[in-house]
Amino acid sequence: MADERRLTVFSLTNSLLCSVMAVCLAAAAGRLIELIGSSWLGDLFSIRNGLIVGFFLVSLEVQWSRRLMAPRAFLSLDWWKATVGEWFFLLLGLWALIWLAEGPDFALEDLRALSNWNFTGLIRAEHMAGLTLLVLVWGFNRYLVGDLMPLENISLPRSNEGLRDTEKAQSAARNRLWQDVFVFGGLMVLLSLVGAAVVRMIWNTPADIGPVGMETLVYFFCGLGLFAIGRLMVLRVDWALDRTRPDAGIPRRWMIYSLGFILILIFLASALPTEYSLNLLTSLSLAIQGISSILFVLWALIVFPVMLLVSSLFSFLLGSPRSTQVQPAEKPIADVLPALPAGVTWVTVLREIFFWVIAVLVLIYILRQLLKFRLTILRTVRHWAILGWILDRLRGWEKRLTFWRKAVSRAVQNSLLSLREDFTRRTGWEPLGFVNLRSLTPRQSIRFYFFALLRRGAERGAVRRPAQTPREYAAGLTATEESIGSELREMTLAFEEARYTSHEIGPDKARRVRKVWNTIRSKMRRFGSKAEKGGKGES
Amino acid sequence: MVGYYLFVFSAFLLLLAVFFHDTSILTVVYLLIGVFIISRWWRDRILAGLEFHRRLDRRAMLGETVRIRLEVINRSWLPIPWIRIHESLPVELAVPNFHRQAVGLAPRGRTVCEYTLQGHKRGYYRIGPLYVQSGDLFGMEESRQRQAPSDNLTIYPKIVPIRRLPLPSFSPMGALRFHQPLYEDPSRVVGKRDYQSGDSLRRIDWKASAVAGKLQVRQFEPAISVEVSIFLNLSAQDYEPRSRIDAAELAIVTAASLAFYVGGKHQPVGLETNGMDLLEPEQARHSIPVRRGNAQLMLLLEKLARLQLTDGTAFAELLREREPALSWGTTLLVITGMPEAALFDELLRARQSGLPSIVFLTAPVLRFESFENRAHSLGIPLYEIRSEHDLERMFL
Repeated sequence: MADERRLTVFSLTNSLLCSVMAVCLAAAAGRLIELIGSSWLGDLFSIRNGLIVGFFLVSLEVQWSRRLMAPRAFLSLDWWKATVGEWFFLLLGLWALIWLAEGPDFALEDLRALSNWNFTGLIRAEHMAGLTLLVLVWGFNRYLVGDLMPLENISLPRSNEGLRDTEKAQSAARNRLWQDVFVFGGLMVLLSLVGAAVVRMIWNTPADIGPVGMETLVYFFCGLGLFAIGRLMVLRVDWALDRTRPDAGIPRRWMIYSLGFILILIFLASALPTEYSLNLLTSLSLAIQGISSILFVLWALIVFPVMLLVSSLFSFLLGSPRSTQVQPAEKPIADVLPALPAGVTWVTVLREIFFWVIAVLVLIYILRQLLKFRLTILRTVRHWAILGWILDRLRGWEKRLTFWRKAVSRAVQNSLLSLREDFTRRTGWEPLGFVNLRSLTPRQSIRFYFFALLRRGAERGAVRRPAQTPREYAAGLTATEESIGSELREMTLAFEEARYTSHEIGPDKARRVRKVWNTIRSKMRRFGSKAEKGGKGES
Repeated sequence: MVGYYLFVFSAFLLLLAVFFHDTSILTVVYLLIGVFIISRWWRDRILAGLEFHRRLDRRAMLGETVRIRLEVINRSWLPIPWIRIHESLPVELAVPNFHRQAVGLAPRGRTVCEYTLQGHKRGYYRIGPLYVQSGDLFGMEESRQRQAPSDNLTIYPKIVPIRRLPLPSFSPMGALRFHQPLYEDPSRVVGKRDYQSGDSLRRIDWKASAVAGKLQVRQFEPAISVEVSIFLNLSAQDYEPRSRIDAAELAIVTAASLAFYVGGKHQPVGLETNGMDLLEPEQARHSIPVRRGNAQLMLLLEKLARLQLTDGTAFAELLREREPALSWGTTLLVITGMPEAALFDELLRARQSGLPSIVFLTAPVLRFESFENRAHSLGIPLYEIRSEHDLERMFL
């Protein structure tokens, strides 16, 4: 029952999200309409806020009535009846909204004209624009209902066959939902961008639709919310099908994590830079120039001291030649870097590079995925002589690069190792090596604590002889440190287990040994300091 | 595939942004690419940060309910929206033979999944491995799986209570009373009596003699040690095919009951068998030397829990091979399906070497009387056990 309630909450959330998406879509479309007929739609957009609330309510109505509409076959008599009734109230609402904002401009003459089958009073600009947007909102919602209904199978069928059918329907609906959200989102962006261009071209007027940011962002925020809920619905059927008992807390967590995740992403996406002024090739050339300049500076830093040394040696051996030529002035290192276009800083260049890296990576990924999913394309491409040759060369280069990379990393690693060994052998100093306890396995941790005990024991005079077994050592230490007898025994047993067995040792054991070691250490410190104080007092 | 759509759409938006020089779309592109990348990253981290602890009693008696507690710990700071746990279970102990649960975990959170198994059948079972599946919030990529190690559970064979079993033994100085004064135990003083001519001087109790004013000798209780070695035949060809499974199970139950009886009397007991141990399947013979104590009894029961029928060594051969390793006076409890002629020959030889034996037949045998006569003529007790009830009734 609680599960049903939770799922109803999800269903309502879906309705809300769809409604918000519809409003975003309507807002984008409205801006386009405004752009096209800014003169004759001015009246309509004076009630823009009212329209947005109205569209939101319409969307909610469509979403909440979807269960009532579900049994009615599309375009059947029942469906028409319900739809006509629905539209009657929607139109009434629209006109009421227009009249509320502007007063009843639908005069008596219009009614008279209507009686004479003259509809000019109805085809006023604001009516038509409102109607267009209403159709858009209603259609969008009805369209999404087709995806959401199979996705929200609140009462699951009991038989396996029924569950399997539900799963298939859900998976198909989820894929459709992804496609639809993207298609409408793309349409939204495209309308906004292309609309401005078309207006510019047809009417030859400067048209600026403004940034497409906010409503698109809200639209995709809601879309992602729909995907997250849809995923849970699909999982729920999957789990029912393979008899997996879901935890009662999953839906609540799902809601929280989805919301948190999407909000964080929106924050990150908004925080990333979006202002770019350079094109790909300029960015690329600046990047290459920058890298080559840095390499040159590095090279100069390495070679210059050697050259200086050699020239000093020669001048010392041969005598310094009298310089007759005037040396050119040294260029400062900053001048080595390439010149930037006017108004562009290196920060901008870095941002550009960042942008283009993302763009190129996205394109490469898509190409890769496309080829992976369409193996036939790859096979066909390989049969083409020139492309096949290019692919072979590329593969060869990739192999060669991998080989070189591995060889270089191996050489660097070996050199470092030999340098370290050489250093240790010559100086007798151990290289600074800190043990990271978190990276040790439980077995290694236990051994570490026992060795720490040996070291601490040695500091206090109980040095372990090479022939002593751990137990013998523990017995010897217990004789001097009576207070830690039981801990020593436990630690010794744990060490023996870690050292001489092969079975798995869990992290609990390591944690226990750490606790024991802490006790030993604190007791040793306490009794040690007491003994010192006592000793001093006696003396 | 969904991830692919996402990227295609992002590329489309990116192209639009480049073409129309409208950079405000880039925020949406970042959002969509971020969804894909962070979802993937999150999903991979989920499984890496998980830890599992399975807690169970690794040994249980037949019919006992075993409770298994599976603790799932999220060591990472990332929350886990869902993981699906699939624990494989032996079909003999659980129907359906799995435990599946879906759980969500808070950052550094933990949860406990509990389920029970019914010890319906003796055996050595593997609990697990545990498969954990996880995915992202949007279902963009296929879910990932991780495997966690399995544990073992031993269900001991059924033990039928045996009240009395006449065990022939010639080993002196044991813990059981005996009716023949031949095996007197000097540590068990039962009283004193006046000295009679012929009594050993070592029996004289000098303190009691001083008190009584006449010589007193100690009287000792006769006692024997019943060292028992159970020889269990689990060679498939020695059981009739139709009743092979049941008869072999009955043989194991008989062996366990006998071991429990002898162990309960604090007597040393061992086991020799040609069955297959699930832990050492390549080994043809298994031997547990004769020892006493609870640990030995547990060892025997565990071994019996793991044994299976096999086409292994001939039983008579096993008997011949292991006989020299047994100490004099050890009683052989031979449990088999079919008493072959070679087996009787070996038992006769053992008896001549001071190893008395009792034979238990757990499979229905044709012409049982002829085998019984043969055993009687050799002085070997022979029992035919058809069911666990027989075992209980026969040794009341």
